Amino acid sequence: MTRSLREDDLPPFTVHSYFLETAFERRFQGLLLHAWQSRTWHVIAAIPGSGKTLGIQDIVLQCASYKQTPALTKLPVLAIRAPKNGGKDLALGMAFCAAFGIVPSMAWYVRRSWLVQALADAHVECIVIDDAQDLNLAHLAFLKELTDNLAAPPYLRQVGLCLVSAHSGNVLPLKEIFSRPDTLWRQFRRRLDTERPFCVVQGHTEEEVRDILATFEAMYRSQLPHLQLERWTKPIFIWLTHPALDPDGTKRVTMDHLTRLVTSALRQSYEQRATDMDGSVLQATAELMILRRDEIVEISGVPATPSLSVQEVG
Amino acid sequence: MRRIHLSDPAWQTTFPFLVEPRENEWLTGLLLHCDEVNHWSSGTTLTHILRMNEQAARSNLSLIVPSGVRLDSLAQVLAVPMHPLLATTYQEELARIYDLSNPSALLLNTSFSFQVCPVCVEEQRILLRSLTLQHITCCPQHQVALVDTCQCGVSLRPFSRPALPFTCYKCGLSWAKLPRHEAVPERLELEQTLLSSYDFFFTKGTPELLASALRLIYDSVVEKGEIRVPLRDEAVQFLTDRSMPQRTSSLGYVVHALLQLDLSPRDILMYAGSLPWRSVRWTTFQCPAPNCPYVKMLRDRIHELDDPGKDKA
Repeated sequence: MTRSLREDDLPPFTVHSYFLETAFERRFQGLLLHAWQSRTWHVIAAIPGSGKTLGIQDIVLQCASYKQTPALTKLPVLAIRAPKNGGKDLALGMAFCAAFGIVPSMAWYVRRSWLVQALADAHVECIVIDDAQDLNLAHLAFLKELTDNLAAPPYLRQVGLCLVSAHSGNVLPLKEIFSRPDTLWRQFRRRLDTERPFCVVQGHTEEEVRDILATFEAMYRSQLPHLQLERWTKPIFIWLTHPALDPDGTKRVTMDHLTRLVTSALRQSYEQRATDMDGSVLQATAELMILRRDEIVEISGVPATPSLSVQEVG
Repeated sequence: MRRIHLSDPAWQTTFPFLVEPRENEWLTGLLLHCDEVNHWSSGTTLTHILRMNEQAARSNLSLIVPSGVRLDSLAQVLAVPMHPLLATTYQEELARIYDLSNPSALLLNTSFSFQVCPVCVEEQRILLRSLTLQHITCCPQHQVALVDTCQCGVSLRPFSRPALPFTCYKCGLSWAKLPRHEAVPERLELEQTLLSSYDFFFTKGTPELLASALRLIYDSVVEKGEIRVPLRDEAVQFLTDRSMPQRTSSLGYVVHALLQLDLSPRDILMYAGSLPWRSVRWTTFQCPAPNCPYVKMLRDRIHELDDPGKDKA
């Protein structure tokens, strides 16, 4: 390990939170773009920590949504998060309204029809609902009503729909609901894409992890000048596909785990004034994530320096 | 024309569909235009703005001045600067003329009734600010009579939920479909004179100039010994004691009196400042002597009207 000769205090380690167009994101965003362009409906699942939310945010920011006077608002991809704690159709309606900005209070029956007009006027072409596993039957029924009204005269607008959910094991959220014999769910099922109605987007393979590590190298080389991360690809892949972190045995790595491991090890190495990743630190961090992830850390004593400035009063 | 991108924090603090004040637009029309582009019922924007400041919506708001409507709240939800919004009222002009920070709408019009130009509504969905001026009964742009009553017989109301914007709250008739009666040419000419007087006060008005106008009106009445007949459509309104003092100093009263007495902005300027003695004859004063100091004094006072370009420069 190379040691630096710096004697002065180190500036704090800076974690870069850029959106990385990883292999997962290319797969995931590819599906969203397909739904947008072809106006198709999909249930898209990936395990927690894959980067679904960041991928949705990136698409929304890239799709040129704007408000302009007079009265020209474009929101081609309308992305919301499913309401938590259940709730009725109103909760989902309010989430849609919030995506437009400030909407004055109005009766729910008025808001229902207002939403259809607003979606049509704002040129909404694709609806993306994150955390769709939290949608309940009332929400789904309202979603169908909303999209059906948009597709009917006078609007005649077909919209794409992506219900993005977190999943684990072999259970795909919503699949069971759409398989029910009730007319509503049969109608919903019929609207799903023919070829890819239910999709599971996989995490990263070892080769894909290598590409990401190469990107991390470039990002953090300004803080650790001799950084060589790619050489740690194999052990990192093995650690992050350990059953503790990959309970479904996918043999794929999530971006969340990879980022946590690398940035934590890089920060510790940097604070030890290293100029490259310290292998022992990397291993210790991986062990902490795998073997001692539920370990309770006791916080005692007093920090050396107060973290907040204190002003005496009186 | 401002464009707000989704990444801009203003996206979350603005209405879904935005409008901005147009030239000579009245605040009432702007609020209705906002309701319309957002597919809301009439008065939704106003109610929202009032609720933001914990005030109940009032049906009798004239909006000649903001009078309780927080324009800064409206500026936020429309993402427009304050000044163009202020220009949809007569707040700044009245504040300057009367030297008051919060002038009352009664200082402009003591007998306000809501009226619209059907052509303005049809062509641009706009209500002009000049609709609020006392004695104005025709649209200066389209030369048609303003309408204050629907065909169904009810008086028009600017805001009334759940009616649609720019429609009669009772029968739902669009204001654009209200009857259009061509204005009588004599009436148009007369109102043009009134508008010139209003414009004079709005652009140059100060408390001193207003005092000069009132002094001139008083002296004219005294010296001429009579007041001419009122404007023919004038329904004289007897106001409550509380608002009585405002009537004789309201701008609507002043411009009306000036018209009755055949007095012009030029006369007001001549009458502003000290005179060797008070008399309306100064407004027609002529002197054959070259270099007459009185002629020069009067000419100096009205040079702004003769050479407005120089004044601006």
